[in-house]
Amino acid sequence: MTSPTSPLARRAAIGRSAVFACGLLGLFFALMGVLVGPLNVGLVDIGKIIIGSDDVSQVKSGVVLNIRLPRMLLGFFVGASLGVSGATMQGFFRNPLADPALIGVSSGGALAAVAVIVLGGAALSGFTGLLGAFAMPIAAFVGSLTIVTAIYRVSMQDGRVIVATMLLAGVAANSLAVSGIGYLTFLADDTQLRDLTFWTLGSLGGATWARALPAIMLMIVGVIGLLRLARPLNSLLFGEGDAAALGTNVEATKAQAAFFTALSVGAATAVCGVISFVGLVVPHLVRLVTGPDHRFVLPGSALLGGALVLGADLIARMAVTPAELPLGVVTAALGAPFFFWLLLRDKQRGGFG
Amino acid sequence: MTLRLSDGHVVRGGATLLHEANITVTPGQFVAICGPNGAGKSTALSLLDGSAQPTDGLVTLDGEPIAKVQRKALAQRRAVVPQRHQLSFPFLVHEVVAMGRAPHEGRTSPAENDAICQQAMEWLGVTPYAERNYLTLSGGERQRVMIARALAQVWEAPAEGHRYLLLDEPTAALDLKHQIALMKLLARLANEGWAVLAVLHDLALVRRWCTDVVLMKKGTTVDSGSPENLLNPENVAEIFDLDEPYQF
Repeated sequence: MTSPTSPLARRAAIGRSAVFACGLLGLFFALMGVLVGPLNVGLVDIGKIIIGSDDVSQVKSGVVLNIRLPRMLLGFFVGASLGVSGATMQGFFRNPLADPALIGVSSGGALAAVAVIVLGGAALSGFTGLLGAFAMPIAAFVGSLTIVTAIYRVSMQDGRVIVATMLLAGVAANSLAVSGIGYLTFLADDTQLRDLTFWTLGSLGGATWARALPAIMLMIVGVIGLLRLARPLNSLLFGEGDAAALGTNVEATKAQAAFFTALSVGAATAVCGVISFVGLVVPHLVRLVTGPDHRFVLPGSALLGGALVLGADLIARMAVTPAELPLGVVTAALGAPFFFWLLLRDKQRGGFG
Repeated sequence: MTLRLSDGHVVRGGATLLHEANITVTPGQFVAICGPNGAGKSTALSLLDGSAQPTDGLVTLDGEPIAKVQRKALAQRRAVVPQRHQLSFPFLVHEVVAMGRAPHEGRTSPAENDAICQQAMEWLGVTPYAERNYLTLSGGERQRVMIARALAQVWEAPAEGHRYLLLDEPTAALDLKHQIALMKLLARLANEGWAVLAVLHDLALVRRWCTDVVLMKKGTTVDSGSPENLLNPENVAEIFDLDEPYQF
């Protein structure tokens, strides 16, 4: 073992503590997600529901098990997906501004999912028939993967990412997706329109087990896939040439990062629309404490992302009761000022490298 | 027992960047590649470090084609210090150096890795910055940290083969004092059995510290041998297209 006084061991101890703290925060908000709401549910009730006691009202256990629990789990995994994907994208593009929503990865997924909603009964009926409940998340995955690949191709030059090009390509991708969604909205009938409204703003509302479970399964695969990439992503921060010289399989790492990011972001977007800024804010907060080492940034971002989305969902549910704010409105309100702060901070440091 | 580029040709987009290039570096040698801008020095180096494939010709590492050497095995005995560094995330200096031990993950203990990194930082004089954010360092300081990382990467002699250190203009960002310290260090490493190959522009440094020099011009290697013999006023004028013999 490394002696506890060595700087590396100290840094690792800080990293582990930070991940643990993120986990506690995630647990806290997960509990709040189940407890808080119009119907008063106490810790004792939760205990009774867990052990299957009859000494709890049908209404309470129904609300907890069928409404709050799927919503809480969905929120947690959506946040984990966005957090860990944001951290991966930032490592992959070697740039702290890369965020799945900002560079259009989320809206690519949203466009594909909207296409399934609107065209699922007609032009895409074969696809939806074949995949059933997985049709939307898988379509969103394909949409997201297309955008990640395109943005990467466009913004790379001689092994370096051109930051301005990456962000502008993201603007273009977002516009294209918005225009596509707009066109599909125009084609949609009334029932489809109701389904579509929440796409533009993002929401965890209406989470049922039937809708949440397929997406959660895909998100778990995506998040685990990304967590495995910590070491190669660390070497990628030094540039692709250096990473290869250090023995990293650069192409395989990039392909896996793109694949699992698209899988988790696509699945998240398929169930709750575009939720912006989580992927940008969360990895930054984790990095402030742990430094850039992905062995701590990735799990920390997954846990803190889950906590943040559940916290934002609490605000969304409580702010305007009995109505509900869209979750994306809350995350954007929290995230956009943070983005400005990042820009200002890096301007003072002399801009982005 | 060598890293060798034999009859290397590189053609990119119709342009011939390198032709009939031959470079050899053997453990115990400190070889400099010298020549004017655009002579193909960096291209030749990219073939030798395994990051690029020649259009024609062969690179062998200890007798084996370098393309056939396992990625990790290659990283355990060949380290590269590029001309420019891309790191833009706030790693601490000791974390940057520790990254050099990545290819040895699971092979050596954390305590061993730690001791190696300490020693490498000591040799490059970056120990005082060990706890600092890499991004706050000056260009020369960053360069020395990156060289320490490369040393940590090929620190111990591998079971098979030798240690190769490849550097592209390693003295460019350094002040005079650190240029001399680095050349001394590289000469010492060569003396201890490392194979050191560097693209260098300062011919005075090459004459003083290198065991061998390869002269390149217009995409090919024109001559190689001892610096005392090759780096004479007439030869240098010829290679660099000077109007009159070069006075050292």
